[in-house]
Amino acid sequence: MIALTPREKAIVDLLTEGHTDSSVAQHLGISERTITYTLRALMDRVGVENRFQLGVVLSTKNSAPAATVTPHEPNLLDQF
Amino acid sequence: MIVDQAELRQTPAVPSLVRWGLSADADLVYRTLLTFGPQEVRAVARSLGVPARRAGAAVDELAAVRAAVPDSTDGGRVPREPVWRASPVDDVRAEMRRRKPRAVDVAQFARRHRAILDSIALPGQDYPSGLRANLLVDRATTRQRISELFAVGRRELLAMHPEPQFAPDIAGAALPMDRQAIVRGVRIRTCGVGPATTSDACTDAQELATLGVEYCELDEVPLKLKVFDRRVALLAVDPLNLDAGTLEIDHPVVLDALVTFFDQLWSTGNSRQSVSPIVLTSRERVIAGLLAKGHTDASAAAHLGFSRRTIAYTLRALMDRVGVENRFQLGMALGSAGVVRPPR
Repeated sequence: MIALTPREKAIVDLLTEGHTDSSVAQHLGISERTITYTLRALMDRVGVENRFQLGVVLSTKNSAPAATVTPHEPNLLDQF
Repeated sequence: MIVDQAELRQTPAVPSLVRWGLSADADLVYRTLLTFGPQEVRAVARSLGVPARRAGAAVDELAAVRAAVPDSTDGGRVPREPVWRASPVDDVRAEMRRRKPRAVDVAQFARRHRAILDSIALPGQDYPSGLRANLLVDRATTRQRISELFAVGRRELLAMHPEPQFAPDIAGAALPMDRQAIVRGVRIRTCGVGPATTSDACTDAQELATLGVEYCELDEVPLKLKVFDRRVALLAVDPLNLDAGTLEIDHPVVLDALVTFFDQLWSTGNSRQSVSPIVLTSRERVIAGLLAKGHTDASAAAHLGFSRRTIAYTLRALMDRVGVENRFQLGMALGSAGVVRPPR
C-alpha cells in the first residue's frame, strides 16, 4: 500500500477520472507546475520514472488509490 | 478479388448467417475470414470492395455472437488494428442455435424476485435483528444513488440483470460508469440472460472486449440486483417496473446471503465470457513494456528504432481503444487488467 498525501490523492483522483494536467490545475486552483512537482515527488518516492508506471504501480499496490489516505474508511451508509 | 489458390482453405459447408438473423454483410465477412484467414477490418473491406465502416459494423455483428474473435496469434506482425479470425463453423452453428430467441416468462421471474424480496426486507420496517431497508422511491432517485455508489465503490460490483434485453438508455448510462470503475481497479461481475451484447448501446464489440466487465450468461436470473463492495445491495422493488423504486439494504447478514447466492449462480453459468482481455498488438505490448520499465517516449523510440511520433501515435490509439484519457489512466487500466506488471 502506498500512502498518499492529501494533495497527491486529490491529483491522482482527478487523473484517474481522465483529467489533463491543466484541468486538474483548474479544478484544484493550483498551477500546472505544482502538479508536475507533486507527481515528480510521488514518483521518486514510489521509485518510478513516468506516469504510466505510476498508474501501473498504484493499480496493483493500492487496489483503490482514491481511498488510501483517508484515516478511516468513509462509511457508505452515512450518506442516508 | 484475386484469389491465390494456396490461400484458400479447406472449409466445410457454411450455413447462411442471414438465416440466423445476421446481416448479409456479416455473412459475407464471415465467409471471407473463414476462407482467407485472419485479417484486419481494413483488409476485409478492401477485398470485398465495401467501405471500411460497413466491414467494421459487420465484424462487430460477428464479434457479438462470437463468430469472429480477435486473433492474438499474429506472429511477428505488428498491426495497429486487431486481426479478426472466424470461429469454426460448428461452434458458430451451435452458438446461433443457442441464441435463438427463447420465450421468456417475465411474469415468472417477477414472481420469484418478489418472493425473494418478501423473504428479506420490507421498506421502512425494522426487524428484530436490526434489518433496515431504505426505499429509493423512483427511477431517478435510484440512478442518482447508483452513480453515488459507483463513485465510492472501490473493490467490486456484482450485478444481476433478469431482463432478456437491456434497455439501450440503461446500458448507455451504465457504460461510462463501468469504464471509470474498472479504470479505478474495481472488479465488475454481471450475471445476465442472453449474450453480453444485446443492446444497441453496446454493439461496439471492441468497447466491450476492452472494458473488462466479467459476464456470466445464465438461462435465467431470478433477481434484479446490484451489490457494491459487499456492503450495500440495491434490489428493484418491482423488476418489471423500475419506476416503482429500489430497496437499498445494508444489513451484513442479508448482504452475505445475497453475495453467496450470486457466487452460486456465477459458478453455474453455462458460458463465461470474461476477464478483461485488453488485447495488445505486439507493438503496443513492447511499448507498454518499455514504459513500465521506466522508459520515456524518447528512450523507448530510440530503443525500438521508431520515431517518437510513432510511440505517441500508438499509445494514443491504444488509449482510445481502452477508453482512457491520459497515460496515468492507461497505466492503471493495463496494471489492473494484469497486462502490465509493476517494476520489480
